[in-house]
Amino acid sequence: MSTSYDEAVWQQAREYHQLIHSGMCDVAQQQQIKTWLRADERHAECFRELEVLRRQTRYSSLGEEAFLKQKAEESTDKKRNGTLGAIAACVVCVVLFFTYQYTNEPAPLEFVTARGEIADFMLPDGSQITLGAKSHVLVNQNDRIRAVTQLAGDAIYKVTKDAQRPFVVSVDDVDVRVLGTVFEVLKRKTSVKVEVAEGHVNVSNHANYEDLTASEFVTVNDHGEFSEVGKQRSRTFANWRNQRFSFENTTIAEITEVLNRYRQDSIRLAHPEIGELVVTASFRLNQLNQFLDALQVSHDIKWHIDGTGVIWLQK
Amino acid sequence: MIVLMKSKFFDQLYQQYWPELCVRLQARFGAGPPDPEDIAQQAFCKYSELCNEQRIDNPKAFIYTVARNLFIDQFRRIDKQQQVMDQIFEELDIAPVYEDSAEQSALQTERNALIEKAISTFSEKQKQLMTMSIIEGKSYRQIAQETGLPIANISRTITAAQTLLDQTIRTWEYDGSVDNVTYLLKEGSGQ
Repeated sequence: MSTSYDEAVWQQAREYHQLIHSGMCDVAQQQQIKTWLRADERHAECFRELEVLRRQTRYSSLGEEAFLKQKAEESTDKKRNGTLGAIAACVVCVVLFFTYQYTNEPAPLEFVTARGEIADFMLPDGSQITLGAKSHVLVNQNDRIRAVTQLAGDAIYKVTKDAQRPFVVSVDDVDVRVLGTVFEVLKRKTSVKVEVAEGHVNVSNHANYEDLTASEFVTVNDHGEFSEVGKQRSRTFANWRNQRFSFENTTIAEITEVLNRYRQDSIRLAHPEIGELVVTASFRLNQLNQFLDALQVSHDIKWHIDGTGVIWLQK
Repeated sequence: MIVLMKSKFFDQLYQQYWPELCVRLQARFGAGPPDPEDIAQQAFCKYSELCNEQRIDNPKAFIYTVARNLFIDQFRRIDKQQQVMDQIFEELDIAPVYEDSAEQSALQTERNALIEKAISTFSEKQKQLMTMSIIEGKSYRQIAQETGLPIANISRTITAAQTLLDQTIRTWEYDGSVDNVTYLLKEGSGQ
């Protein structure tokens, strides 16, 4: 095939290709294009090549700039609507105890979340707590102290600065003491993990203590032993807020215990020995089925859902 | 989602590159939505699917490009003209376009570099109109309404830009050389 014929084919292919993408191609013109495409294989090849190039150009800097521009516009719209700083609580359960009837101490405030619920709360001193699913804290604040007892689950604390009143979170026999910062406390069956997003935090029990700064975390097991202080390299701080979970060398028992707080239907183990298997995984809650399928491939753990919606894991 | 990486190389790559990738993506594309970690995971998944079928010389660059393309996919608009094209392909039994997925596009590093080189010579007007046509999927009438430009002017501008793009790629494919690109770029960069 001669070069001039090639060039003529490309020229015609470009014209027809442009005509369709202009959005101004009528039915008669479409028929004309189809006739031309049928006439020679080379016509269809050139035409297809132009379309491939056009679609691949979407992934060029033009596409990237368009995406970034749209994000910038959306961000401006959000600020304009005044949505910054909004705190929404899905379900709030506040119960006042009367155990301090012989003193002038205000009764502690109690915050509880239901299964599958994540909620934000504002404390009297302006600090904020975000509670994960099925979590439970008691808060005691007066002009001398700011004390929280975390009884269950996961919580993020954004603590307002107050040098005169340290903010202390007690979890089992572990105390987390701060002056003003953002940190996360995960209470598990056999451990307590504290991770700091901003500021300084002191974690202590009767035998040991650690001072943590931003991006550092420590785990205290049920024997009161502290792990080495770890540095969180990736952006996984408090991922459970977005219903994303990252488990590193974690037993299936602990994984199911966490997931069961965030799901309405339970996951149960047909045999306890399944719970002892250790897994590294990262997934969103709505990807649970994929995680279970992967367990089947990697550990030969089968799963099924019974008539009541409970997921069973079995060997 | 990535669970129990079986290949030792993949495991090491994931451990080493995952944190850096998340930081890079967040720095470039923001905190989300879409969540940079979600995108990073999808990119690793696509790499794990492809790396057994073909050699990928630079896994980190490939994974980053796929992640970037997945962000761009979030901007996809319904392109009626593309739907017409797909119908024509189907009716005439022309192979459908599959090369435009995030990962397939990421494999074509040389081709992508040439596309970028051609785009770098576009005038602002050409970039604007090409973005409205190709990225946003707008018809020339819609572009005319938004920009106030005559349709004929829009057509000429886009035609010149697309001709430059396609001639750049064709020259590279037929000659196996990028030396001629400079000549073509000088010739085709006007409106």
